[in-house]
Amino acid sequence: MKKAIGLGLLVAILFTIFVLLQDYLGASAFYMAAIAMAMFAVLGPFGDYLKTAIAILIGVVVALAGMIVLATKMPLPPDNLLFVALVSGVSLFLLVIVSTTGMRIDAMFLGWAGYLAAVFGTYTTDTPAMATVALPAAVGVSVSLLLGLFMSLLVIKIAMAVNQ
Amino acid sequence: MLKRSRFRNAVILLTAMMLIVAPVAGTYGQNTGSGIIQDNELVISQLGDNGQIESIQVLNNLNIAGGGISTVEDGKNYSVTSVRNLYSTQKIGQKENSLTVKTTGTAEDLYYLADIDKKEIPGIKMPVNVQIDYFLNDQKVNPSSIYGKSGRLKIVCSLENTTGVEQEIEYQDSNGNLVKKQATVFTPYVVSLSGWEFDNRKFSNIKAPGVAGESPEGVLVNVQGITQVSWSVPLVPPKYPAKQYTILEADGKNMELPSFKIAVIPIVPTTAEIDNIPTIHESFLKLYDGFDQIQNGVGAREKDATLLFGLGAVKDGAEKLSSGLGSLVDKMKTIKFGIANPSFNAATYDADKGVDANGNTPGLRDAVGLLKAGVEERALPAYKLQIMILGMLEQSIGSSGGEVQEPGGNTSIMNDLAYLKSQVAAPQQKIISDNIEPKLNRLAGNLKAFGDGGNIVTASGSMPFPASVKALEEGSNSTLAALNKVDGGLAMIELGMGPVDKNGKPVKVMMNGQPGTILYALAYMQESIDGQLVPGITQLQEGAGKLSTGAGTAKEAISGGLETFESVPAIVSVLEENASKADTFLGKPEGATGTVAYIFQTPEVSKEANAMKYGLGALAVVLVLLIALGRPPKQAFEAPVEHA
Repeated sequence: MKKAIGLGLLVAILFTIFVLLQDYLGASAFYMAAIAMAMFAVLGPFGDYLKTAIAILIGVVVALAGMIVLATKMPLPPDNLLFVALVSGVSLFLLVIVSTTGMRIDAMFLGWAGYLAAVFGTYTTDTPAMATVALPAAVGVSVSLLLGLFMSLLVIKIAMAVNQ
Repeated sequence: MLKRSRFRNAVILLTAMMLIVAPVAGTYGQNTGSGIIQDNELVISQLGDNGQIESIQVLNNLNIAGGGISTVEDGKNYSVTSVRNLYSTQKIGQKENSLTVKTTGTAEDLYYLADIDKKEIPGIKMPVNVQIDYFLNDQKVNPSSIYGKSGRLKIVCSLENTTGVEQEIEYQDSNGNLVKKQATVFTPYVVSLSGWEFDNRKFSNIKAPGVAGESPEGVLVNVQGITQVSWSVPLVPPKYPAKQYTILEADGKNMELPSFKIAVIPIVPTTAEIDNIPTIHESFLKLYDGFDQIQNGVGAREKDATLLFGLGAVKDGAEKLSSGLGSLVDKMKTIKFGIANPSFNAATYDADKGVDANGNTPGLRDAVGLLKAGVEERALPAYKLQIMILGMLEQSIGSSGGEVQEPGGNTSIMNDLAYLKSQVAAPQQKIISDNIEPKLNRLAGNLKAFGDGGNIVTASGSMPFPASVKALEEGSNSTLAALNKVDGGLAMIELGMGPVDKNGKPVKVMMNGQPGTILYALAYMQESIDGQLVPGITQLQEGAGKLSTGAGTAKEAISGGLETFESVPAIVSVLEENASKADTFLGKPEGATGTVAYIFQTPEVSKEANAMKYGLGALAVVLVLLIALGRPPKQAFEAPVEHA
């Protein structure tokens, strides 16, 4: 019990620190870190967290590229649903193709979805602002997801150490 | 079964296609209007950290009313690096001087965004220059260096309307004459700095002061912890200066600033302000007329029926009066000397020559004095002496009758004759009685009459004798009394005339605060006229001259103001014309109407850049940690060895 309490406190403190420092790191939507933690707890102590991290980054990069294409080359909202659908389809197609190289598809999808969740609202309401927020948002989402992933690794490692 | 399924699928697909294509086909078939194009431009200029324009984008809206246009050629005054259609799929082509876009042939709204080539930017002259300066604790800084700092922030936004050109304007003045005037006329622009937001957690003591004639005051509104500041700056000469500025001051801590927007629109601002210009114009006209009348009333020295003419005449009259008084004083002095010559010495007067020993002639009073002296000192004593001698003669003769005494030295002739008569014979007595005694009696009687008056006996008989010595004496006494009166009167006259000093000037004699003598009064009057009246009139003339000059100056000034008022409608008309001509930046299709607005955006001062750096740093750290800790152990994935 004591060990569980200790582990819980450690995770809580780490997450609290992350939430407090999120603005300085440009991390947006800190709760995405919690989603990442939840999703990758299943990797277990022997999972390839590095590969998963790279997959997340790939997902973010594909989403970023897709948003850049939408914002700069395609017709703008509101009457551009077809083009959004096309870009989304192409992005997912690419991710599926990349997954054949061994990258975790769930991680790539998480990265892709996380980035879209961060910027799609800005894209539809204030498209010109995409010029200034696209890249910082990509960094912020990546930081949130990877920190969440790292915290889940820590949790696993500590749990393993505790249970041994 | 498969064939039925495929056929069914084909029918469904065809039906769906028809449903999609039919409205589009129908749309392509329409050709409803004459194709009027409205070209609306929004020129978005991004200001950099150094305050210069970093990039210009033109958001262009082509509103095609009615159909019948298949290709639109929009103007292109500057080279563009990219053009993209924002909301539709028509491709926008670039030619050397135009942008072409194919339309659907129906009424539609096209939006495209053009990026101006950065090489063109330094050569582009914006209609309004926007210069933003940032100051932190009175030191000029770049906006990027403000992030995270604390202190007194000051933002000065300088705005200048650069569209002024010399132009000839025509208008009718108050007399109905056509006037042509060179004036610098601008295209009117109104600059709106609105929605500048300041987080009250980071900024306090926010002020947006104004300076009359230079800088408008900002409007501050506090809404839910955000202070919004707005200015409206009309750059519309002559009513507003072509160059103005806005100031914002605040105390900031750990500062961040969003990107502020500055909108510039060509427009002649219409307000609900009551137009007092016609009333003021009319008042100015009346004021001008009033000053004109003053100036005409003051007039000139040679202009009849004017103030200066009258003052000149009064001054001339006063000078003549003074001159006349001077002559009068001289004549009065002559009269005075005629009355009494102060140099005359009666003691040395020579009656034969008529002058005294020094050659001075006597005045009237002097002559009266001489006459009085003559009567008093000579005539009257002479008359007394004569009366005495006549009495003695009368006494010597004596009278008949009385006691006869023996003749001696004191006896009278008649006594002696009576004694003689008593001594002589009768014939001698008869001769004495008949001849000598009557003759002696007559002589005595005549002597008495000569002395005291009465009748004298002559050969022809007795007659009154008025010219007796006594009568003469009485006459002289009367003459003397009269001469005394004359002398007295002349003395009063002389006194009234007043004395003069050795220089011939009247001596000052005052009585009860007034001049006491005629000569002094005349001199006093002359002095008053020369010393006060004439100089006073001269000053009146000078003052009237200044009044006229002032009225003329006022007229000139009012005339300038009237010109301004009278030219206002012409200037407003030119302003409106210029505003309507300012309808494009990049260019517009031939025959199209257009509007243009400008937005200047300031650089954002925020944490994003720094946060991105730290975020990338954190990413790198996490990746390194994952490389170190996040890779699976190799033995866990080794495949079990197959035992043969």
